[in-house]
Amino acid sequence: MPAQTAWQLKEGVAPDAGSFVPAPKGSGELQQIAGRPTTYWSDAIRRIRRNKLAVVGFWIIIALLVVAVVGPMVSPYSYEDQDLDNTFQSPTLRHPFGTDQLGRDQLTRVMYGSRISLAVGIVCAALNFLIGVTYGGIAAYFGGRVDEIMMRIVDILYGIPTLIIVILLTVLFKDKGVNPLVNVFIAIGLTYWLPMARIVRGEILSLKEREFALAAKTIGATNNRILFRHLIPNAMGPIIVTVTLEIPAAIFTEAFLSYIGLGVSAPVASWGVLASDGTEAIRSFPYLVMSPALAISLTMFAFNFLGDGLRDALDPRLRQ
Amino acid sequence: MSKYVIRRLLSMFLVVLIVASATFFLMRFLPSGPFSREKALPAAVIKNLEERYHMNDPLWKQYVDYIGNLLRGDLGPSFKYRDRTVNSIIKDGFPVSATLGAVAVLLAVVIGIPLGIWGALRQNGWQDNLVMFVALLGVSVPNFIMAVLLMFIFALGLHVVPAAGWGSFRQTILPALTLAGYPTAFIARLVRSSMLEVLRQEYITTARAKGLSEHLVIFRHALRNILIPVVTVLGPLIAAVFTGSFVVEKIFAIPGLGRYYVTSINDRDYTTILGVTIFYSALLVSMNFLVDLTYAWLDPRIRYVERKVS
Repeated sequence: MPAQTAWQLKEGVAPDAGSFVPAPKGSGELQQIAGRPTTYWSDAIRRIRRNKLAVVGFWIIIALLVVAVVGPMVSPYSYEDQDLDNTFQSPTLRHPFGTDQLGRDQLTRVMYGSRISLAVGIVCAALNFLIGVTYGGIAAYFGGRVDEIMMRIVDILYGIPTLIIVILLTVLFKDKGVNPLVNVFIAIGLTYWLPMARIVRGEILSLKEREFALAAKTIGATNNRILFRHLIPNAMGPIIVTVTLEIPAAIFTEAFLSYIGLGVSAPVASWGVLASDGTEAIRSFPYLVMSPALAISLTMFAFNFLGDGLRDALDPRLRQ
Repeated sequence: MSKYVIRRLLSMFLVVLIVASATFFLMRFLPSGPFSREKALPAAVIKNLEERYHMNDPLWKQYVDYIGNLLRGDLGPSFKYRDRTVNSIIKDGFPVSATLGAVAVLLAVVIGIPLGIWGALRQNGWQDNLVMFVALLGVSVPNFIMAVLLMFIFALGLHVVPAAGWGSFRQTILPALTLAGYPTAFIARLVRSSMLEVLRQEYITTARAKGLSEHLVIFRHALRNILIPVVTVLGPLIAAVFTGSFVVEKIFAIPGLGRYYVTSINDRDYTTILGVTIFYSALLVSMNFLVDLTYAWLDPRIRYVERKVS
């Protein structure tokens, strides 16, 4: 091998072809990595920080979580306390969002509603994660007939509008006497994993052909271990993006169901129930519908902003 | 191609049959029947009612009868309205919903595509940011909130359109706008991203190099290729418009199928729930099929052939 000659730039000259001279031997700084190495995740965090809307969305979600946890605790009213002398109060200092048809403090009810919405979002994200990731992962990993059958089932379920399945399940469980909130959890959890299953399947199909999967197999790792320890962690980017975008869909569905009278019902204050009550009084007391409407919309924005930003940052191929 | 069509038709039939069977048994599992009232009916009355609707037959016979009638296009009587059949409910409600839905989809296409193009042409400019922000708003605001807000602003506040009802053109405006919100936003985002991709293609450079006007490049060369992804999402968007109509028709007091559906659910009107669910899924499956055919027709590179199972 010929001796390597290192080159360095002459000092104080504009760089062009002739401006390089051999570096003195033993200078030790032949090559150096200029910055810290970036990993997939640190790169993603850097990209998402630059996306202002996503950052705003993130902080709104944090604020919502704080309000959901702390709000009802510090409020002097409870979400179900009726005060029949003070019904339909316009917003005042005592009741910043006014009171409803039974004199209940609207602010407290909206804050309580955020608990329900966020709980629905979190539980559904978790179920979505468990069912969708496992289902898609198994279908892709075992491939062949297993994949064919499992994905045909998904295709069939895809053919029916999700909301119709959710409505039918809700009716079924409601009449069976299941707690309405649990009912909504089950109905949404059982249906919203379809996109996740498809995305995870696509990811695993390509990941399982990679060398690291082969390497794991040659050292005798079990199928279970390869799938859950090697393949799925490598598909985490798209999985997180999908979950973030499924959360607002779940929150919307709960509000929608409660709005048309199939979800949570009074006195529990879900945003859907509040919006429904507010709609009935819209001609005389329009402020009542505004607070739940703003709350739902703000939450949906926040998750969609964050989800969009995450998609751009984590999975450029999915970018729309 | 014809092989593909036959395959698809068979699988569509299968999907609808599965939906019909699943919904049928689901309805039979409900503990509260259509005859449960606040005040319990005398046993003899219930027995007569059950006899009239063949509910005392064994379950398998009810199922076979139902599927048999379904194949002949008969969805049976409504449990709630004694003198109506599910077919007549669909016949009354569907034209209304379809009109509303068609207007909404049309609006979405007519507004969404130009918005998306505009955004893409001014990529990262304020116009682009504005379009994307509005599109994200459109995707985020739930339809029932949109309905209430539009009604509040334009009907109760400005008095420019009627708040509710059905029959005149002016009454169509608000519900159609509400239903169009989500698809418009969705299409705008999709068109923008596909436009950005298409504009980087070499045939666009070629077209520009030939000295074609920018107008011609965009509308003759780029637009055609953007329509393909738009057509592919029309299927799911039509589904969104249909389910959106459940609540929009309720809020705006429109006598459409969506409202009948929600009412029938609250009344536990088995046969109507069942019939309308089957109708919706058949409709949706056929829409998706039409969309796929259009897709092949728009893009000559796509020709459906026998797919090999990999």
